[in-house]
Amino acid sequence: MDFTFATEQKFLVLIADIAFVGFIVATLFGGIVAVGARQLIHAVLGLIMSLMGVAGLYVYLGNHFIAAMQILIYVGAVSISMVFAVMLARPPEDAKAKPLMFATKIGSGAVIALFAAFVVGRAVIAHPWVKAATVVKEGTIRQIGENLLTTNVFVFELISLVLLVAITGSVIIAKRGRDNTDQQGGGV
Amino acid sequence: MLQNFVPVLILFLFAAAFGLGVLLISSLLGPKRPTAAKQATYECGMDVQPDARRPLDVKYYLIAMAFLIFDVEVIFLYPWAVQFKSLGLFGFIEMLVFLFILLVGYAYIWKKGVLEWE
Amino acid sequence: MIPFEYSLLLSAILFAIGCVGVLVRRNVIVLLMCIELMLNGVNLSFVAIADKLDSAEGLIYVFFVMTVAAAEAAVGLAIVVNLFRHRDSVYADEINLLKG
Repeated sequence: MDFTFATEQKFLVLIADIAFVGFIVATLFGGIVAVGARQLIHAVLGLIMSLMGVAGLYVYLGNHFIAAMQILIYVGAVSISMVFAVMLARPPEDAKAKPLMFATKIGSGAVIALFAAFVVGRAVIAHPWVKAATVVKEGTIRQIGENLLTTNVFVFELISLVLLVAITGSVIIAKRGRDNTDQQGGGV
Repeated sequence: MLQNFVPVLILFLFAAAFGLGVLLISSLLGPKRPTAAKQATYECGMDVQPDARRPLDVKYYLIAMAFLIFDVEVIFLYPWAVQFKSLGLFGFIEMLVFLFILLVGYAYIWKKGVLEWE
Repeated sequence: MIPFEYSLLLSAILFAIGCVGVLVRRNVIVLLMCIELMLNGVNLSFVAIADKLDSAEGLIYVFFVMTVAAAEAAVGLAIVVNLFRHRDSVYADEINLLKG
């Protein structure tokens, strides 16, 4: 990995490296905000920041399509529906008086999570990763399309069933709630 | 390879800085003489009666759900479209089956009246 | 470009942040968000390994994980909304009707 660049190229590489650190910081800081924020809407904004940081890291890993997909699905759709849920299910005002979390809870949670991360990380790093025998390095989106519709074609069809069940289930659950409130005369 | 994207990043940063800078300059330089009438939600007309912070109707949420699911569906069209020629008829039929199964969901939410807005 | 182990370390940290959130928070919406964070950590390691091995398999799994995350968000948030309409609460420890 030792290329020789012209001076302006080196400058651009330096900016790319700085942006890389920025994406990592955005990912971690956004994650911490998403976990620790008192206001729900701040937590959603932190989640969006973290997801954007991960999308930037996907670009650095050479998968532009996955990065675009991350932004379209997670930031564009999942986070927006989170915002809708926050607006629909606003907790009562007196809930703020309750203590949010205790230091012991955070400490024990962090210890357990770090232990799990340590075990998984040790296993992953200890595993000898060998490259696949036949490697065709072309555009990742072409590889995905080829693989998705030949090798994994039944999984692909099952995904449409998963999506069908998800839309049907969410409509059934949410609509039943609305009909009940309409009967009570509490509908907005 | 990656440094080719730096101009795009600079464009993003410049756009964000421009938007934030305009907001900052107008909040610093603009005259601020608030009166009660100016602070109202509408300068004329009735006062807004209920608090703005109340739960929304669930039909907004149902529309968001439909968007979420069909957004994911459209994402799956991209890799298929790029590889369309080499996948041939088999891939085309598979994608038609995929779209048909989701069309059932579309027909269902249409039948349930999710798409109607009174 | 990125060292392989660093990507895995970052994904492990992201997973740990989400895990801590699931363990300490009580709000169901925040719990769902923390699950999304954990899935993101897993996705990051999938993409890193796919990049390391030059294979598209990991990217396919990212597709599946993202789809399941979207479906989970749709159904989970519908349950949260319905729960709030019936019980006026979004806190996990107050939803104990099924507790023996």
